[in-house]
Parts: sequence; structure tokens; C-alpha cells
Amino acid sequence: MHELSIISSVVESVVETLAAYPGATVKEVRLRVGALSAVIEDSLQFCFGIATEGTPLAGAKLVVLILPVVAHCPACSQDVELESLQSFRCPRCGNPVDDLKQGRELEIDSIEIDEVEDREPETSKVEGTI
Amino acid sequence: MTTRIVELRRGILKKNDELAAGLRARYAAAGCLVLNLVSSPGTGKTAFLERTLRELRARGCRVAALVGDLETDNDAKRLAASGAPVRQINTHGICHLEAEMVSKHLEGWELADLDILFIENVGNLVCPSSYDLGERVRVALLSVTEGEDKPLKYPTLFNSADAAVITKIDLAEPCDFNRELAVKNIREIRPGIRIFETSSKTGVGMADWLDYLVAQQGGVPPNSSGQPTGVVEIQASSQAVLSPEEESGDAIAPASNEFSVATPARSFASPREAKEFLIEWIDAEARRVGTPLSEIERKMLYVSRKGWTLPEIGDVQEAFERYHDPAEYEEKIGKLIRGIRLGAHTAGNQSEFDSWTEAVRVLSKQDHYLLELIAASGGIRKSGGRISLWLTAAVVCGVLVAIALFMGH
Repeated sequence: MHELSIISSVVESVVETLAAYPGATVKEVRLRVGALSAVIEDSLQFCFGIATEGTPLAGAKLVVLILPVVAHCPACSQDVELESLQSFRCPRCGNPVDDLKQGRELEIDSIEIDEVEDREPETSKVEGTI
Repeated sequence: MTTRIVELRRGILKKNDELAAGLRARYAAAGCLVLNLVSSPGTGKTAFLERTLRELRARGCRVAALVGDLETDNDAKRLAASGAPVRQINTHGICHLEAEMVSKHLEGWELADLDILFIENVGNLVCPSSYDLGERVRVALLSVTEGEDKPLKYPTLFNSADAAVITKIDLAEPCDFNRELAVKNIREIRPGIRIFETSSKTGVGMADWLDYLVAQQGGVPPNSSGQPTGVVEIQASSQAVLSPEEESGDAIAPASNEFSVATPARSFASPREAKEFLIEWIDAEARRVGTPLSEIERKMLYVSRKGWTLPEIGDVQEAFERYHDPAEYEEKIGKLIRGIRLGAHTAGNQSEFDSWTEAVRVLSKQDHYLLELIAASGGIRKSGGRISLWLTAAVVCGVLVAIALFMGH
């Protein structure tokens, strides 16, 4: 149940970002979550409803993109997608793989907002970097 | 109204990660090895850590621990009995530790004065895996009572671990625990991970674990000046012993503790297990009588020509040859072994000594220097004779290997 802590961090980050868009309302929050990130989407959704109450995010939709685990297989010299979390082996050659390229992400990808037209913010391009 | 997509591409736990990166840099600058111990509730993290702290202190290592729990300071009290500085972190409902909690509880501790800091996480196999605490080594623990498939059920944690420890290995048999399967499952999730099989009760496997810690820390800790403190404190009194940090009033006063290596008669699955048992006992006896073994002295007990030994035994022998007097060493070990025999007899605890006899019997299947020391302690012996033979043998082996390598080219 650390999903509430995670969602609270999400809300905090989004509220900070909104400072550049006065009056804007949030329609959607998109997360990128690796399959090995130890969070459950249902719990995220449940906590999102609670944590956004009384914030500018109230009523927004939470979209969670689950990313499969990708590891580099030295034997095949390429990145491969794991078929199961119960076996860290290359699905092509069966060799063990431990060099993960994807699967631990826990990121806010983007937010979709409705903003007031006559109040264009100074930074109108892409906000924030990783 | 216009709709706009604002890309953030920002780590959700960015604040924690940044704080953890800062901690990691602090630990590294101070030369302090930090470990994060994670397991389910009831795996035996605290018992394991109790023994680890005690034995590392006996080796002259400066250790400390932070221990996380939802409520109570019970674990901190237990751990503080080792004599090491210990602080409790109560999360009050939060299921994991975060970098900020660690940072806050480190205030007032001089990291440069510590060799190893242990962080015992809240008992939970899921949530702690998302939170970096700046540790260099994450240790996943699993007890034999939890079943061999635990790693498959919790891949997230086991995959993020740097080392795994199977605890309560003394209960493997009654629990029908399949060690090979457990090891296979752990490696299925985390290929190549270092795995230790330990018992906090009997001490089996602890020597390997402690050697690993010392190696990770980056060297052999000084063991001349600070060595006896931890154990002597425990021995000298069953009263609470305050380390300097605890005297400041911030930390928890340790509870009383009794040091004992008493074990029931037992069986040994391998010569290695028997050997570790015997060495652990000799090591404990050395501390009991106030002449603790140095790192080299202890490791010398592992010498073997063909049987199982430590990977770094060559270096150990070399250091021994340089700094130790073989006659003195054999005299010291012989005295300890005689002390163990005498202790078992006078206490009338034959079953306890039966374990010793059984271990010697199992070990006798291979050739070990330790066997010679044990045999010699019971009768007439020529001081210094034995180890010089072994050292000569080691040198001869080395030369032969060198010749073989040379011929190969």
C-alpha cells in the first residue's frame, strides 16, 4: 500500500507544474509504470480518487501505461522482452539476463490540461525534463 | 479554453531518488558501507542483524543500525544489546522506509566513524523495493519457513537485490525446505546473485556472510585496538551498556543480553557446514576467554589442501606467514579447543559436545588443517611443526601451478 505515497507525489508534482498555467484544469494524468515497479494499477486508481479531492486535479482521469520488462541478452546481442516475471531468461535463447533496460519506470509522462485562452504562459513549449 | 498536453517525463519518486543520491555520495565519501535489509515480517531480520552486529564488532568493525518498524522500539532494544549504536525509525503506518526518514535519523552520527551501517527496513516484500535509501547493497532475506517459491511471488524485490540470505537454515529439515530449489528460484529472478544460507541461532553460514561484508566494505578492519569492546561489554555484565551515541540520549538503551553458543546435538549436511560450526565455536570461545581471534587467525582455521576453504585463503596464508608466529598461533588455538572440551564436560552438557564430535567426524572426510589442530590439542604436539608443513605445501602447490601455466603458454 505505498500507492498512496506514490500518488501523493504525483499530485504534488502536477500542482507544481500547474503554477505555470494559472486557471487551468487537469483532464488527464498519464503515468508510465514498469512491470517491475511494485505498484498495482487498481490501487493507484483508488488512491488517485482520494488524493486529488480538493486539489486542481479533482475529477481528472488517471491513465497508467504499463511497460513490460526489457533486458539485454548478451548471447543474442539484443534487447528482449521478458515473457514472465518468474523467469529472467531470454525468451529466444533461454540464457539468464540481468541487464534490465526497461521495467522499473515510475514516471509521470504527461498531463492534459484545459487552459484559459487569454492567459498564455511564458513557457508554452514542453515543460520539465526527466 | 484550449486543451494542451504538458510533457513532464519526471520520476514520481524524484525527490526520494535525489535525496538517496545525496546520501549515497555521503556514505561513499565517509567510506561507510550501507546495506538495506528487506524481507517479510518474521523472516528473522532482527535476529540475523543482532548476530551480525555482535560478530562484526568482535572483528573490530565499527557498525551501527537504523531499524524501521511501524510501531514500537522493540527491535532497536534488541539490536542495541550488541553494543552498537542503534536508532529506531517508527513510520507510524507507512509500509516502507524513505530516504528522508533515513537522512533525519542519521543526524548527529559521524558517518566517517562507521565502517558499516545497516538499515533494517519495515517487514514488507513489496513496498520497500521502490524506495532507494542510498544503500550500496540491498539484501533480500527469506526464511526456510516461508517456502522456496517466495522469490517467484515477489520478483520485484528479489530482482532488485544485490545479495540474498536464506535464514533459519537450522530449520530446513523439519520444514522440508528444499535448499536447491530455493537457490534456483532466487537465481531465476536475479541471475548470478550471491546467496548466503545462515542460521542466527547456530551461527552456520555467518562466517561467509561476515567475510562478504568486510570485503564489500573494502578491507580488513583494524582489530587490535577496538576489537574486544563489543563482546567484552556483553560478557562483563548483563546490564544495559551504552555506546557513546546512546549516552547522548537520542538512541535507545540496550536491554540485557546473554551470549551463548550452546547448541543441541545436530547433524551436518556437508564438511563445509561442519567446518563453519567448529570455527564459529572456536571463535566464540576465543571471545569468551577475552582473547578474540584476529581476522587472519580466524581465517587460518579454514586452510585446506583439497577440501572446502575460503576463496582468498592464499592471501590469508601469505599474511599469516608474514605477521604471525605459527607456534604461538597453534598454542592459542589448542588452548581454545581444550577450553571447549573442558567447558562441555564440566557443564555436564554432553549433547552439546556431541555436536562438536559429529562435526569433527563429518569434517574428517576431507583433509583440513583444523583437524590437525583439534587432534593436536588432545595430545602431545610439536609446536610450529604443523603449519609450516601446510605453508610449505601451499608454496609447492603455487609453484606447480605457475609451472603449469608457464608450460601452457
